[in-house]
Order: sequence, then structure tokens, then C-alpha cells
Amino acid sequence: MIIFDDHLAQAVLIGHRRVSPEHGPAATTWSFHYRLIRALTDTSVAGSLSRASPQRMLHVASSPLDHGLHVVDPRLLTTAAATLAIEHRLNLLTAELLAAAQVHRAEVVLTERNVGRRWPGLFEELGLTLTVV
Amino acid sequence: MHRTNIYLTDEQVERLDAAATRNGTNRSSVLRDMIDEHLPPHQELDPEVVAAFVELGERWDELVGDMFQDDPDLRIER
Repeated sequence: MIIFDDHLAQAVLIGHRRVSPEHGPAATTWSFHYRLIRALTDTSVAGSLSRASPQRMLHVASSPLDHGLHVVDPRLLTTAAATLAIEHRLNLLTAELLAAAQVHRAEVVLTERNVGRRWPGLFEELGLTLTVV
Repeated sequence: MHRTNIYLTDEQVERLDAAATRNGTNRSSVLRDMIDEHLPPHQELDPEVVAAFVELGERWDELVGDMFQDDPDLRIER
């Protein structure tokens, strides 16, 4: 499994970012998926696009598995996320991301702007793989 | 449902049976889940929708970059 942030997840949805079967599936966390859906629901975002198709974009993002993107089940991460949040003083998005990588032994791929200040150190400390593109 | 025969190595059968035991299910169910996970149905997208997503991706920082910075649960502490 490879976990992508919200920015990269949309590239997965339209087939512009693929994961080979031996490294797959392509996934994102529930928090990142929520951020994507919220962005697409915000009329100031979709309305700013020159080829705005807000409803159709939202339809695609709302059925991620139909377009090759898995959303990691947050219920499987609850205990791990809570433990990480307490140990490292993390917010929900960060705790969920680290827990997802830990529980699923997944590589995490993020855009540079989506890398938290403390994340590289945390990933290294926890023995997790982080790739920044 | 379709019935099918496939060839697997001894080691693959062991791993398949171990997964079925862990999940409290059977070989067929494990294999169906793996197919659904790794070979999802392919849906063709309207080129207009693809173009809209491409544009959103290019303008992501401008349109979405700081959207969640006031949300303590969803922000990324830069």
C-alpha cells in the first residue's frame, strides 16, 4: 500500500498517478479524503476553475474505489492513532496518517507543502517510509 | 458467480489458508477481496472532468493550500 495526501490523491483518481500491483494499492487516509471532498464542496474552489465541473468532480471523489483509490478504514487505526497522538502530541490528521503507515506497513508519499514540520523526524523515529514529491 | 480452477504453489496455498484463518473466512473470500482490492472496476472519465482535476492540481496551493490551517484536527503544522 502507498498512502498519498489529498493533493496527490486526485491524480490517482484520474489515473495520472499509478501504483504498480506489487506496491499497491493506492490509498489515502480518511482525513486527507475529507479535505479533498471539502475542497471540492467549497464553491470558491470549484468555481475558480476555468473548466468547472463541481458536481462531476465531487461525484468522482466521492466514489474513490471506482477510480482506483482506497480510503484506509480509520476504524482499524483508532488505537494506534490515539497512542501516537498522546506520545507525540499530534492532531487527528497526523496521528491517523502515522497510524495508517504503521498498521499497514505502507509508504507515505506527500507533496512538499503537505509535510508537517516535525514529520520527517517522526517518520524516521517510527521506522516509516516518507517520500516527498 | 463463476467457478474457476487456478494453480498455486504450496507456499501460496499456505499463505492463502493463513489469511483465511486470520479473517475467519475461506480461500474464495480472500481471493475475491484481493481481486476487488487490486483490480477495481475501471471507469472511464469525461475528459472535461479530467481537465478540471488537472487544473485543480496545478492550482492546489493557490486554491486549497491554507484552507485547513485554522482547523486544529486537519491542519498541517508547517
